[in-house]
Amino acid sequence: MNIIEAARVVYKYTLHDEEDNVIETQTALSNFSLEIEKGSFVCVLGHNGSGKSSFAKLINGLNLPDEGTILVSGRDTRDEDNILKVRESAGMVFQNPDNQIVANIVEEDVAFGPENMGVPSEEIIERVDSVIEKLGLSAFRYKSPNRLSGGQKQRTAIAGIVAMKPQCIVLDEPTAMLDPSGRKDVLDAVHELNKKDGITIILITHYMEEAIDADRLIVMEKGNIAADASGRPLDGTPRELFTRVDELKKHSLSVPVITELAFRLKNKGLDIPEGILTRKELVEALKALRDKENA
Amino acid sequence: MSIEVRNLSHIYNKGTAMESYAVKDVSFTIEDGSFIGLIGHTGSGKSTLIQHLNGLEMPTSGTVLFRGEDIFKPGYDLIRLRGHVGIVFQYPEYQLFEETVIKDVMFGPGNLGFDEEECKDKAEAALRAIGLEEETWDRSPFELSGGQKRRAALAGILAMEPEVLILDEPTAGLDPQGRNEMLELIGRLHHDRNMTILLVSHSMDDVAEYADKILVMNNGELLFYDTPKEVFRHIDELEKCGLSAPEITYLAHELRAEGFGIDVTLSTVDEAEDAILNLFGAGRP
Repeated sequence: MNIIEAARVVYKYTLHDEEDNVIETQTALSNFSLEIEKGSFVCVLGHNGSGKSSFAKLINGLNLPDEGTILVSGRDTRDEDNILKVRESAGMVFQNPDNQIVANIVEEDVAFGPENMGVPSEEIIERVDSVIEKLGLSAFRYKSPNRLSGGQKQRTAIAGIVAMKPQCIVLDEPTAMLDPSGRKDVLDAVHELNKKDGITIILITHYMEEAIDADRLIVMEKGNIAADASGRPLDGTPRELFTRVDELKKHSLSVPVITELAFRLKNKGLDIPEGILTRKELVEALKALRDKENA
Repeated sequence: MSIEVRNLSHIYNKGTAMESYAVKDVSFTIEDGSFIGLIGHTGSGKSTLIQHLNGLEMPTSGTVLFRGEDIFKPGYDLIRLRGHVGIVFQYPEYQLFEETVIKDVMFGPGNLGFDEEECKDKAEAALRAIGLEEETWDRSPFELSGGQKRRAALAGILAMEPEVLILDEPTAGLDPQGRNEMLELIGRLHHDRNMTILLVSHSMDDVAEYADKILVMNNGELLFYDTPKEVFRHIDELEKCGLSAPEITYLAHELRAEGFGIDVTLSTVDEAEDAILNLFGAGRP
């Protein structure tokens, strides 16, 4: 079953000057179609300006398509009667946690979403309890979000979304401003929400290492899914995509450090498999090679 | 020696219940022409520390010497200092404000007292150095792409012709290509102009690749100041303070544990490529 169905979506935005005259119209998405399966973990890659963020904002109706349709759990985002339901089922987390936190105390911030939805107070308390536990925020529950580290703030922002019980969470570069441990905490939390609660995750990122564990990668380019020279779309599992190192580089992307190293070793003649993604895989491949040479 | 930091401490909210050390008794020297990486978890004091290096923050105790002179002594010309020691803050594109790119870049040298003509020369040189095409110079900075805006903001600092360039996470939010271009640009400034660089970064892979020495801050204190090889030996300590080692260093440890005779201080892809090819007698048919 698909949670997101985008069909031939066109989305344009206009730039205005100081007198509010239109100076330029840019097409952010052109005839863009995509289906995302419920419960999957999808990573969206692409250089700045490729249309990733425009797509993200279309999912929960912050942007509305100029042409075509976006269905979220079967609901058309352009139908005003649907918009609250759409936003309940698809929550968004942005890059800068400071822009997403509204309350003075962590638990109040987490409760803000369900309060707005009119959830009864006993149930809000239950949800807040379980979400705070789930995202490892118990120690900060009664603290001001200002006193938290970047990773803790971002987890608070995610907790606020999870408390609304969404079916899908869209994260737009959620780790861009975090240090390594904050980045790891946020990714671990997101993976757990996907595995344990079956929440569909759409993660937009510039860090290839974060894409390794996704079910599916999509590369965007000029407002659509990128394609290689033979017209094959860059849409597939991490292993399928990261095997195409040269193609990715053409789209101003990189590959994870370990994949890059394995690619170079293979080019220099070492007999190791294609599409190595993790350290463990590379270590295993090199061990196998050693055994073969010793045999 | 270009910059000498001596027993520097900075206390926020001194004398109140909220009193806390942002920087605690930190001492180190940055040699002329070196490339230093500064790493540390969020809130470790990196940003407070760098703001002392050109006198934007005043220390609670201790001091900073630039070319042997105490920058916090009365009468020291801090404006001039800020021409010598330039800081490019996080998301510097948010600080662009002028009508055109070139005017924005001319603002810095203007503040240092250069006349219009000189400012223009310096701005043009800076814009060429960062590789922004000439047709964009008379446009509004807000019409540029994200990566271009960031480079324009960097040009605004370069136009003051600093000897020391401090950059606070200059690659945050850029895509991989933007990131590479920015790092290569910084590498060129270091190489071609012998500029002293202090790069604040959350990417262990980047500092391993570019820096001669790494400063590690933890809870306001200086934990290590050494070459990347030495610093990344301390994987456990780095992880305890919210950092990590480069992927390649972890790989080297794992290969070693499997009995490969490999140096565990490897930190870049180039080094690992050579080392692994050596293990397998690369070049052999």
